Amino acid sequence: MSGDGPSEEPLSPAQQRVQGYLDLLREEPPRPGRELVPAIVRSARWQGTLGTSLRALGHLLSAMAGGVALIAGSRRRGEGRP
Amino acid sequence: MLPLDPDQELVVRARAGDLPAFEELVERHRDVVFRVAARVVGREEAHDVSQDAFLRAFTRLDRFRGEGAFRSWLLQITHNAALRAITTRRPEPVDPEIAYEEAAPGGDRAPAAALESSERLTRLEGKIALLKPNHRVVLVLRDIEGLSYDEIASITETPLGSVKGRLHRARDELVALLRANTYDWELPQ
Repeated sequence: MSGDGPSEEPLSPAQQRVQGYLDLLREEPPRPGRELVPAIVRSARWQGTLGTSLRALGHLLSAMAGGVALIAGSRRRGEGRP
Repeated sequence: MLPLDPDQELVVRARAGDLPAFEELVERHRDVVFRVAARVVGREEAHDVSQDAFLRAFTRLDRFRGEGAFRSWLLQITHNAALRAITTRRPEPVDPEIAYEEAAPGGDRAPAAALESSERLTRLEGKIALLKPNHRVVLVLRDIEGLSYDEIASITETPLGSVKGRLHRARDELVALLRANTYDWELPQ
């Protein structure tokens, strides 16, 4: 067990016995199936692609909005001239 | 000077969109994330909770400031994902039959030591699943994973004193649950 041993409050005899059982539990840890890592990477790739596409779409929409504003502004200026 | 987190370089690369670097981070930490998830939500849900935790970490890598270890940050996300799963899905304990068994009043109890080792561990897991989620998390992180109090405080975003208090109560709860069991776990008074 890591760290802070001296400040640990003393265990009762029953708690000490339970610690022994928990040690056994630690020796037989649940293990992930082989499919976990590929599933995570697949989802991350998909999320990355989606994020890139949404960012690109955002840039495109922003550029289009800028263009529309520019055209509208120049028309307004044109209409205001004698 | 603090030792450099061995994951830092991979985090920087993954943050820049380097998927193999992220995959390496997953490979490094999948066991501890899965173990903690399985001990907190049960083995059946551990896969989903682990996947959820890693994907949340992936999309929030820019929020990891590197002030602590990447593992602690990842376990903080795992802890939150596990508690969310418990809150939203309200799963049954590992095995209700095992979890809720109680000793008949005044009856003789068979020694737990007589059980097959795997059966004993399954029954113990069933009892841990009955602890309050906040207590269970601290017991798992300290008494099974062996993490320091400081790291547990960081993972659970809880003051150090509260971590120690929860651990104390979790240990007492577990002793009480085992004492009320049909099997005699031979716990001294």
